[in-house]
Amino acid sequence: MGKLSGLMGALKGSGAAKGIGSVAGGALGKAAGGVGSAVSAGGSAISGAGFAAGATAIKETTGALRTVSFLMIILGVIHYTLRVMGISGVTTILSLLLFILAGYALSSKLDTDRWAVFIPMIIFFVWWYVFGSSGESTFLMYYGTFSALFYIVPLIFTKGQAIKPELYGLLPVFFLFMDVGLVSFIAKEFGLTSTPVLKNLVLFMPWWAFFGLMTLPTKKEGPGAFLINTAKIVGILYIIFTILIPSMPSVAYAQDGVLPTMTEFEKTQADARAELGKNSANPAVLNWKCFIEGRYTDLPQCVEEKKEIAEIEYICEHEERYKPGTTSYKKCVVKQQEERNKGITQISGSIDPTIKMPTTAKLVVSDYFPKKTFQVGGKTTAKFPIELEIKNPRKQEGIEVIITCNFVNNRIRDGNYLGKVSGGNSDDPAVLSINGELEISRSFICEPELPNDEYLNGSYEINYNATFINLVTKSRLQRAFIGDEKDEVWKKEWIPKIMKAHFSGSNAKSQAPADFARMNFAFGNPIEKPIIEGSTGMLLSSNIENVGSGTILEVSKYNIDLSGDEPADLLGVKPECVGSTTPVKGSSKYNKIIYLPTCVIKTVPDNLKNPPNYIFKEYEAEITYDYQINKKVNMEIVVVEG
Amino acid sequence: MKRLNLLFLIIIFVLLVGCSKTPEKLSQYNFKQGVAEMRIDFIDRAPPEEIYPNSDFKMVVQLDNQMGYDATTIEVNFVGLNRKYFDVSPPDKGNPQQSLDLLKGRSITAPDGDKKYFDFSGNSGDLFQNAEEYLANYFLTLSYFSKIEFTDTVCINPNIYEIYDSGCKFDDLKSYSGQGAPLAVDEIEEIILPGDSPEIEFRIRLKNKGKGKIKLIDFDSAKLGSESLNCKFQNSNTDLTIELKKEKQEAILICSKTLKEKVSYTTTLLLDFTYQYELEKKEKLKIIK
Repeated sequence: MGKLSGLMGALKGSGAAKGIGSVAGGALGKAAGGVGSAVSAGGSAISGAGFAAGATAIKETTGALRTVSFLMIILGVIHYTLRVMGISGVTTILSLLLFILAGYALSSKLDTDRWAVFIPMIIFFVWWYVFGSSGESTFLMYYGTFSALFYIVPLIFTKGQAIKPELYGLLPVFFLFMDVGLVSFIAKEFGLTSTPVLKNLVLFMPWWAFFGLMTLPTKKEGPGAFLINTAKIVGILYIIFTILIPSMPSVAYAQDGVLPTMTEFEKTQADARAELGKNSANPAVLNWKCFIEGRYTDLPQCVEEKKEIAEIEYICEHEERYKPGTTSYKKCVVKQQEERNKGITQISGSIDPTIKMPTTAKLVVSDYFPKKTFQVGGKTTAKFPIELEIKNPRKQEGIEVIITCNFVNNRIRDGNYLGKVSGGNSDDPAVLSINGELEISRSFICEPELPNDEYLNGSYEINYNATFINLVTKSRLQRAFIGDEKDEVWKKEWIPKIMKAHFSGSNAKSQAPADFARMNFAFGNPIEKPIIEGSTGMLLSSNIENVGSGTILEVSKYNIDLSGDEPADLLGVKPECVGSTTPVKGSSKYNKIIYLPTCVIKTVPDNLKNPPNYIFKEYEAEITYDYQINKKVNMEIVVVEG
Repeated sequence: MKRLNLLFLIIIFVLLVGCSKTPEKLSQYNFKQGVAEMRIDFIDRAPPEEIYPNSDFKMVVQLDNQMGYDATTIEVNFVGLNRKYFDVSPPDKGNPQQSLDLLKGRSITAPDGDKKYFDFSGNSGDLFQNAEEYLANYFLTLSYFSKIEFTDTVCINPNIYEIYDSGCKFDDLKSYSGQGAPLAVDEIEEIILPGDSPEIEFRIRLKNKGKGKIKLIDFDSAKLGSESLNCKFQNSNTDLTIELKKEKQEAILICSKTLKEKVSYTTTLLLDFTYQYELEKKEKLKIIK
């Protein structure tokens, strides 16, 4: 408590320290105390290092009161770095400390009564952390009434002036949620596809540092103005490149409890970080690199190129485990590039918005899962259930799901044991057959298979895997054929009309349900242009994209039906371009796309060569594949001597 | 003050009431005035707003000729319908189409204009996978040929410097509202080139005042009284035909003649044109589960 007070005192004098100290409470104060000393140390380092000039300048211009924002930036970056490194305990405490600092920084920025800003923060914090975000109606009635008094009384005394700071007080609450992993949590709960913006929000957003940046004092002139304004501009550019450039997915959320706990949030964030891949390059850095290289006119393409290089380098270094700079590493990079260049144009697809119910599956840990088991004697008898929930809205038949599990304790040498699964078909308890059922929810039991003289003792991670065999996902692509005899006047008039009528939004791309994987395909000249002019020299490109959170193990067959609804096929296409029954190796965890060869379509059927106006058609592609999802659960077995 | 307000309201009321059209005898009604065009629409519930997969449906197109002229070589097309989802017949070269040779315009014998119904039969396909719906945007297009006739009395004054000529009053620029079609003679500028053999030049501005697009205009004839005028389109490769661009739906025809008379007189100016007209409407069809 003393250390935290000391920190606050350094920031704004003893009065501020008292205020925050009273909010933090005993336990939190102790926890934060450790950080406080770290911060003080950090502060000293800053004053002695490169930041000294900037810090002094700010001091000169804004005074000690407002440096809390600057401190937030530093602490926010440290906190973000620790989070990226996967250190969880300290980050939780830092989150809470930064939450309090945020209230303090905000009130300084607003130049308003601090208490008004802290009211909503305290109300929310107590409800969430102290009362476990209880949604029980009687409690909410009491708590709500009581909280309302806190809100209303200041309003009465200030004649309504307090409303603004009271509302601003919700901002730190929002940032706390974003920091601890609200985005990842929502994405996971709703099985959202990892869009670029989602990925960037999870991986590249130091939320508290941005809060500090936002609350930096405004200064138009003076020695500190340049530093402050530069920091703000850099921050805004970072947000633009990281968040605004990618498109936003729509999300919705509802669950039984009102809000999940901080641990749940942080767990999902950690999982999401691992899942989205460490190979992801920071988009802000890439954008800047492209700017510096002077590629202003083809910025998106430049970023994509750099992203691809970063991905390849990551795969060769971390997945293939070659040392950068070695011959093997260089060969790996070349091989990866060749693999990708099979598809000259890297096409993409999108989710079909008219298919609201995709094929989905998830492994769910039940409330009855024994997270801590006391075992008498030296034989492990505990069983660990997992629930497999499958939605099969297209009533696919002939799908088999193979469940496997194993127990891992990384602290023990050879601490990896296979598990025995039961709960599936009568002839094979580890397998579940799906024959057109719309929804299946089945519990499986996993128990360790141990040699006679061994037993589990301590903390273990159970890895559950569900492998789906023979999943089928179809995609469709729309194209308009105008032939080769239309004059420029016609084109000038009709092409915009056709685009508006048929290819608005993502309709020019192939579309598929939000299943586990899909085939992206396109043809034309250029490929991405959905209006086909002429009748020769078109390119066909395709790939298979893993859009789920698991792994494509194998694509047993794929087929692009270029005949559409016409009897005549589009001619002159190599058979391997439009289909294969030879299994294709699956995607890796880090490489989500399986590239297929790009080919030439020599000609089109006669009826499409010169239609009177234009002809609008749709083509389909289909993949049959095996897919694996997994779930990791921690549990503990305590062996009690009998 | 209140009385003044009341008076003001009454004046407005009177003015508005005054806008109503006085009945006109049909036999005296000029059908070749104002702007009118061929109307094209689906009849109610054909096609229905929503169609179920694998079901039959009808699409009935009504053509209503509101022009003061006959329309010929009429074609109705559905463009942009995906046959996988909507198989509509009769098809022609990939797109459903029907045609008609003639649809009479408004006249004393048919004051409401002729109507024609085109019946198309459709069959809907399956939705893609388990899609909730399929929404198809397409174009209903209409194309036809028609004509316009223009008549007006003009004052010809070959000797514009003769102040003692007490003949008709020369009007150098006249505007017109329309001739009962989408294509209209909008403006005529009259220029006299005086001298021993004076000449007259008419600069006739033709304009599309309809909702569709005029593709081309053919000049048929121009007469001043009983004598023909020499005419040609400005900015046209062929003097007697002009193709119009979508963004500039107007043309200028220049007609001239050497005048024999030396004094002013009034006479009729007669102009005939044929044109090709195209109209398209964006429509929607929906398959639901």
